[in-house]
Amino acid sequence: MEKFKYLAPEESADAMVGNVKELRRIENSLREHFVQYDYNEVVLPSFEYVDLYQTMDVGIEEERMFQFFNHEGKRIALRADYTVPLARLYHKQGAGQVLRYAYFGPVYRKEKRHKGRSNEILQAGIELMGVSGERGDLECLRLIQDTLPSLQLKDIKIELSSAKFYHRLVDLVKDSEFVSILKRRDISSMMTLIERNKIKGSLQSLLMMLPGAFGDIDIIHQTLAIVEDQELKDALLELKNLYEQLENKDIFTFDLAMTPSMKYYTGIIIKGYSSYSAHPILNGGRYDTLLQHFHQDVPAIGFCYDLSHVMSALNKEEESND
Amino acid sequence: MIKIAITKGRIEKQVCKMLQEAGLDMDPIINKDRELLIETSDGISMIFAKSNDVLTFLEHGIVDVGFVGKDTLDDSDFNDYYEMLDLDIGKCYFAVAAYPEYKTKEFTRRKRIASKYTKVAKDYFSAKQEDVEIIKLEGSVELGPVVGLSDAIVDIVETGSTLKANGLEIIEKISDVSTRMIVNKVSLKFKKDEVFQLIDILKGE
Repeated sequence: MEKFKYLAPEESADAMVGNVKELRRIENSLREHFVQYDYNEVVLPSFEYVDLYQTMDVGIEEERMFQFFNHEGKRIALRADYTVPLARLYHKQGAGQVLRYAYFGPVYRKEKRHKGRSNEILQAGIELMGVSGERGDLECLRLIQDTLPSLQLKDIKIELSSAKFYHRLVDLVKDSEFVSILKRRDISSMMTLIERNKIKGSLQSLLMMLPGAFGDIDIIHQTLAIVEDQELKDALLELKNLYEQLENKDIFTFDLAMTPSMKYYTGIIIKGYSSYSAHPILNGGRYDTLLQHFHQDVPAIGFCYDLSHVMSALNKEEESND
Repeated sequence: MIKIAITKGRIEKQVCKMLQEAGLDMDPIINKDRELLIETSDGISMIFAKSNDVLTFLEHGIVDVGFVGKDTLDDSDFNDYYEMLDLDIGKCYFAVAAYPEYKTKEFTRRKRIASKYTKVAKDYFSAKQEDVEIIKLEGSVELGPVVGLSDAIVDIVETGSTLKANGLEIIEKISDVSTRMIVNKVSLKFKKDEVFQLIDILKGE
């Protein structure tokens, strides 16, 4: 047993020592912006019923949660995501009104061993509940624009896409392998899928361009030019319309092959990348049906920065400047 | 500058040949001695690694693009990358193989299956709802049935001559294997032109 007093378990990330000041500076700067936009910071408990995540069907596999049995014999998980517990909080507090939540803290998800990945990700994010469509989307995107400089990362891209576009595509293609091919951006298998299903015309052109369908606003224009299906068109027009209402929008690009990272996304989906991080530094999206699990028809949108990845990107950026 | 990791050996030779035929400068690589990292005059930086390590380097963002066999991808737990192109080279397939009597034999105990590819073997038998015991062997997996350690094996088959020489036969084909081009998710976003250039070259366009 002697050796264990010197070691941290494999589940642990390394202690943060040198750059805590930097982390706190980022957090405080984000906090100030969140307050300006009228977001209320909440501190949530670390323990949740596994059942909460399971019944809400959010797509976090149960083997990825840190679990134990409590005195009721119920399975308890360390908080695996903030949005779901916040939806419950809204149900308790909000009922129909507009509420703005901000949060700072870790989420816990098991990663594969020896892959150099952390099981504990520090997040800073917001949820805007009760504001639908364009108005909510724009508030969210503007808040991202205003808070990005707080990270002081240089090479950043914020990519937008639409869960509506994705879900409609899945319905149109009707092939059980399509999602997996799209996720892999597998050009070769996409060709086979097109041949197998004898897909022709506008849908064929769309599927063929999909693996490379990302970039600036031109990609929306190009796609609009070939898409015939009205629902797909509407989803694209929604993105285009949002973009047109933003200012200083060079930071925003699009990725039409993006697949929703959470099952509950229903509208725009957002991902942020730094060239210095192998993982996205920002995740978000609209989730208008999640609160139906609490028998409430309330539209909502949210996003969060993965500050652990932001910090490692900052470190790498610094190293590459040396 | 685009950074590439290639599986050492046959995949390395085949991919480099494809790139050379497309007009890229591959001389520094073809004439290399024991260096593990080489830069070419076309602005390509290449490292040579074992197949599983190609995945690891890609996952950590050390390289943008990797060339690796589908067998390695199928047997890995990690899938956070884009698998963009099937190069249609290094073709073979996964199969279950055993002595001919395996097909008719009634098992009153769990079957024992030897494989280097334990995940592929597990996925295959669980899809068939068959409860089997899987034993990992690192090489010459055919030995499993020959020495009586296992009832069958799961392995990649190219010509089938090793199987035949040991009296084994294919029981069932599982899936096709060939060399794939994989891309780091963030690299694709920041190096779109370079990556698609490489894809076009390899597609022969």
